[in-house]
Amino acid sequence: MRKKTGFIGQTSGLGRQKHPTAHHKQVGFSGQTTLIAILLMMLVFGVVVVFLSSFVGFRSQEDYLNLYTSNALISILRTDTGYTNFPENCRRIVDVLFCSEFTPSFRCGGTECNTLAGILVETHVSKILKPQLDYLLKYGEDKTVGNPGLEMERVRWIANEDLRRGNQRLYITLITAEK
Amino acid sequence: MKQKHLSGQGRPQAEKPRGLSGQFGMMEYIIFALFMLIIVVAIVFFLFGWEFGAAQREGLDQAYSKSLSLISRFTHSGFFTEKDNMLDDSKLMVTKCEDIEAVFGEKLCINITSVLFVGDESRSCSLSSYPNCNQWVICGDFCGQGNLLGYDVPVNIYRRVDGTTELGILDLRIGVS
Repeated sequence: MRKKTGFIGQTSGLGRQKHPTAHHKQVGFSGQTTLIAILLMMLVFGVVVVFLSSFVGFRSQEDYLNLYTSNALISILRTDTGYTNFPENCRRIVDVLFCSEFTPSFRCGGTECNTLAGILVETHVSKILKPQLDYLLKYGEDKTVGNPGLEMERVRWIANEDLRRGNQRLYITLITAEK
Repeated sequence: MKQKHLSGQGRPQAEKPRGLSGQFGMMEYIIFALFMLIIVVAIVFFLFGWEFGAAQREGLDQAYSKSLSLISRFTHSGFFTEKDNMLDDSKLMVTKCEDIEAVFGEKLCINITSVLFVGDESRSCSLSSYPNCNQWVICGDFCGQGNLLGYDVPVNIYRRVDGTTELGILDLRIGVS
């Protein structure tokens, strides 16, 4: 009758069956040795994982991208459009956004504010935004420029501006996220 | 009865394998001991490497944080701006590396570029090219030295000559040892 031996993996190659009359040790690692080897391998694996994971998140960019997004929004809003007529509605990009929200059919240089706002935002953002970032600018009730998919993005950076002009109030949000 | 001659064939079958098995067992433990030694050395190596890496990362993180802080100080300093986050081109024109060193306590590599919408060629600002230029470099010599790290952020640039506000990029880098 044959009897199984070995500490673990009784039917595996390491825990081969042997004849009961053979008293000598089996060739190859014994069960305990195998167990210790596996534990050590797991320990090494754990150390390597911890070592490598320490590089993930290296140079965290959270603070930087928050500052970047905030600066991008402020800077874009304050930039001159080049339209000097009707400065109240057309001079800076923020003026055009106000115009787009409250008097959308008003024209700056022959272009309706509603259309011009989108063009200006797109042009200026494309000039300064990092190539690896995507953006969505929301303003007013429901107006948006950029990628609407960023609303659903889990990792994103947001900058807000709450602006008032007389009795008009415009809430502007810039969202950036990695592409 | 005829006595059988004792030859190798007549020996008990278990003896030879037992001796071999002992040798194999010895080899097993030697190999296993070597294996464990290698693993222990590897673990020690990884732990030391990890500690060393952690110290390096800590240093770099601090340098990047400092860089962010300096960007904020630069874009809010009355020495260089018209108002917060809006750099004044006339002030940038007269800013020297010594001024930066006096204000921030160290040399900084500062590169400010106004975004061009027409044409692709940047033009460096000097007394002869101003105001028909769009790039200001402060501490240019320092920019070419050693290890530098830092960030770039969008800013406004106020053009004093015509009173307009342009969009630009501020790139600020600090030296790291």
